[in-house]
Amino acid sequence: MDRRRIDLLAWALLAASMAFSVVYHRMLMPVSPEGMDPAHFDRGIGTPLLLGLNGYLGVFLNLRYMGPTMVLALPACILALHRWRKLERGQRGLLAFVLLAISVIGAFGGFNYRYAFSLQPVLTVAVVGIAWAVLSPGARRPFLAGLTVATVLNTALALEHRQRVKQATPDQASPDTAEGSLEERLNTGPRDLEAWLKEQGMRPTDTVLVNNLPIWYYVTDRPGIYYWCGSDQLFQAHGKSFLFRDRSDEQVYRYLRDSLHCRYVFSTEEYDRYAPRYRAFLEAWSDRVVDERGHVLHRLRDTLRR
Amino acid sequence: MMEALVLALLVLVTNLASGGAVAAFLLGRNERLLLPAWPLALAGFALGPFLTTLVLYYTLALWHGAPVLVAWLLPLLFFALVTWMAGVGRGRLLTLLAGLPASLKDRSLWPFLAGTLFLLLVTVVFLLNKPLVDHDVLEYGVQGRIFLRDRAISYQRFQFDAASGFHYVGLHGFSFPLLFTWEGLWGELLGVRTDTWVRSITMWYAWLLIAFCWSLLRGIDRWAAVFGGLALTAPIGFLFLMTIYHLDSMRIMLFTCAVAAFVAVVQGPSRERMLLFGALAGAQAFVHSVGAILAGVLVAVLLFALPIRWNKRITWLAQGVGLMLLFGAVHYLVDIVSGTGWIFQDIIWY
Repeated sequence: MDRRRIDLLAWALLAASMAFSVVYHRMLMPVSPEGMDPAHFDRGIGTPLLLGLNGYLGVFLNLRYMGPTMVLALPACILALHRWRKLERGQRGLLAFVLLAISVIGAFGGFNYRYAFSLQPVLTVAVVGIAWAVLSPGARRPFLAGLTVATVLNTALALEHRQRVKQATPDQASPDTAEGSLEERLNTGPRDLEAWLKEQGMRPTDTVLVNNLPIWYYVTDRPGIYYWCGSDQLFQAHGKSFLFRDRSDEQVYRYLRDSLHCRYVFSTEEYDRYAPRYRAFLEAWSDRVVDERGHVLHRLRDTLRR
Repeated sequence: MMEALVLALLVLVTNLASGGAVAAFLLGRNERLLLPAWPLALAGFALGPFLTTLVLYYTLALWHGAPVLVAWLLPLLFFALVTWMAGVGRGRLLTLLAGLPASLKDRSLWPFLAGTLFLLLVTVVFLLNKPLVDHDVLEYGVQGRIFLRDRAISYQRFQFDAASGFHYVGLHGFSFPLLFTWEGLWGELLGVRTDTWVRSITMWYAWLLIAFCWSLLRGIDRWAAVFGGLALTAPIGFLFLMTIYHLDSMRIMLFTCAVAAFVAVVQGPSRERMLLFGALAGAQAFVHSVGAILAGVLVAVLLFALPIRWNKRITWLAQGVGLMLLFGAVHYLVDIVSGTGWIFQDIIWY
């Protein structure tokens, strides 16, 4: 193929990636978790289509976090595979690795975009290198400048989508969409956890069920029973066990009070949403003491006869 | 004030002096490696904090209850040895750094300089306003402080700290938690409890990653580096990578270096390049499980892609894998045999 055709093809691919970016952010990405698992909504994999785009093909197409460079890496990989015999040794090795790595990362279902992001620097260097090699000398810099502009536009669309998510789902917390001063947006932890706990009348030896909040162990020297409501798992010396499974609410209450000698539950409003039964149990069997930053201390009823 | 002192000392000793020692060591072997100087030096700087955690790992794994002073001194002695072994590399590194001011006359480097200043500003703003509040990094922080308290690393079927009731859910190598241990050791000696340096390490590795990719792209063309650098850093994912305290910038920097070494060894096979690849692949594996899996993929591809005779291929690859294990991948073998079972246990997604 002559260079002018390659230049045109490259620009067409860039334009297509930008069009895809608009469709992706404005039409495909939901703004509220209605009808889907909240965890899957957070991760952008709430429907089979989104699982495909942001999950299995997340390395290339998860435009919430990646840029058009990654979209262009997809046809670049396909083209390189097509021209396998003409590639240099190093190029073949890199292509084989990238395809295998994408398969491994994709096999995890893209549950975590950070894994797909591992390949972003490698693929960015590769795409820029390929563009430089195949484009005509006069088209190289304009094309790469266009790629940069497309990346910035995609980021603007992604930020605008995050704003719409915030409007549709006000309890979605993120520093870039939250309100308040910079310090308030960046520091979402309890202001002074130890002082706050003392204020609530907690003694240093009181046993607390800690719902997946390592900050408890990081800033206090208080013991806790580690728990994650999302999988209903208690983490104790002997290993993992379930709290709610095979127990009625009253049995859970008695188990917490009599076996674990637990008087309090430390959690966040955001985490509580992950497990409706756990949340309903807390509403029925405990009193809430809410911190202004969404951290909640639940005091189990009757344990202190208050 | 003391927190700022610990930060300054750690940046000087661990980021710059220890990283510089490894960079000089690698540059000193560049007659055989035959790699571009800047990317090689930047890979060396990336290995500085990492190797500190590796020395700490072996110290605490092999000597349970090691005194604070010993645990603090051994990494420093290790880097003194690396500096001495660097030989001619010390001069090469100094020459490379001395050339920086003159190269800034090149206008294509100004965006990089502006980006560096911007990242420095972001770092200061975040260090002043954002404590550790995010889940994952707090898990690493708690585990790192448990290592500090016990000055011991042991493997258990179920990682549980009886004193606090904390369960370390992570299945990854201990490199990142050990950064907390390292800062904690300095804190114990200076009488202050701080995590400012570990928080800054996110930005440090993000900057190294940008610089590394920039230096690779400058090998193609200086303006390709400018546009490539912007395309790399403008997506939201990268903005998060630079600002959310996490191990990601560290693991992705080391991973990117490992992939670059992989390409180098396939393009021009040599024992030295294979050893460099092994060291970098092991390093990124010791930071995160995904790195360990991808290191296995890299080795598998190398087995078939290396354009040399099979007996030499097997010998070199065995040496590379040996160094990979020494650089931290051994953690996963031990964890499978006498710890959590690593990848063979049920994984809980958070």
